[in-house]
Amino acid sequence: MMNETEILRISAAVDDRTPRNDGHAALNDAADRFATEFSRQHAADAALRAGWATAMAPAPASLTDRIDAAISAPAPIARIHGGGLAGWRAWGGALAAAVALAAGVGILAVRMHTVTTTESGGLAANASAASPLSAALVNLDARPDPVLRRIEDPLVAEAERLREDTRRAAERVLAQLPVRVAWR
Amino acid sequence: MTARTPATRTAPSGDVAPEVLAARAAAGDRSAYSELVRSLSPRLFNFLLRRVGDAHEAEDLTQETFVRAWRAIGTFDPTRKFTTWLYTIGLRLAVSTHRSRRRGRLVLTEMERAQDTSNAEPAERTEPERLGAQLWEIAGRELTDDQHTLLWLRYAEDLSMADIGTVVGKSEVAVRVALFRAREKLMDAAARDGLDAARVRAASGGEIETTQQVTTDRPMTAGRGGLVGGAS
Repeated sequence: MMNETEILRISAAVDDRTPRNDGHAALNDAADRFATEFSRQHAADAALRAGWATAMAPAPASLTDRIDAAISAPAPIARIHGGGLAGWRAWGGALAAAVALAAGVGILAVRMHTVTTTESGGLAANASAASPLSAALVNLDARPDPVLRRIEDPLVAEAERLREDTRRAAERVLAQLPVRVAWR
Repeated sequence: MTARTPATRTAPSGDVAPEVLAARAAAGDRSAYSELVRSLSPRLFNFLLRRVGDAHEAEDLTQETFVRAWRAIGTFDPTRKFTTWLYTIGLRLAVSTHRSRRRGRLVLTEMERAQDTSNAEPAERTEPERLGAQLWEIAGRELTDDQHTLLWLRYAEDLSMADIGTVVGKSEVAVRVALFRAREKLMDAAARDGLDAARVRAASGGEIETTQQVTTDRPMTAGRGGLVGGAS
């Protein structure tokens, strides 16, 4: 078995086409001592070099077009579990969306709770404190500033219509129930 | 069977180096990249076919390699060799697929197809070509995937030792040693098939000088700066 140094000397002669008369005494020495292996390596090198083209299989004629089409196509959306930067971005986006959703649900819950607890007494006051439009939806008689009436009147009228439609629809549904329920 | 075009080791048309075309592609020139695809895809296909042993998979891998290279073309350093970069992507993709390793038999089928469709019939080949074809056939059958990859990059792609090292992720010294071992194993297998080194050497025109001729017949010339360095 040849050691690495000896292999590298033969490799230099065979693979680099180093002329064997170039003054490298060590190279010639290696070739002398391992003439048989050098000869085999040289023969294999020459034959492989001469025959590589015969070993080539023709590529499919459509391959180039297929690659061009694939390059022209838009890049696929990165998968969340695909790893790398795209994956982290996707997870970050999902986390931000979850936080925003939770915050929205929290705010909605607080508002609904406020409206519910004041339903019997301070409904109008609380609603008007929230916004003029929500006040109009809950208590149409509680109008805020008269200056805003001209702006709000169309919205208030629409709110009234919505409320009336909802009331009629609710009455129609409730009429189908076997118990008597009053719509307030 | 799908129509096929012969694969050759040719440069892109107009003698424009792949590195120049890659630089143009990086600047947004889509046609430059198409030219790279046209000129290099047959070679890359063959390399991957040898590696995975299945023509359809080799096609898929060739396509995916070019797509990935296109997406990353902005990171390509034009001072480096484009084929080295491309083959590095292709080999990593092929290795990561973990698929068929029945390369020898399947590639021989592809070689038979190539012989059927090429203009040059086997009978018209020169003796060195016939012998080379035999050796490549034995290589496909007897060598490991990694050994075969080394031989292919060296002889079919004509890559330097350093470039081969880049593609396979090894040092230049490791590549030289592995290449030596691959040829050694190949010649052992060839001998078992009745191809001894003397016949191979004679047929391939690889007659070498005796050491006596080396030291006396020619004038001394300048060295190449070391035995290991100076890859071709």
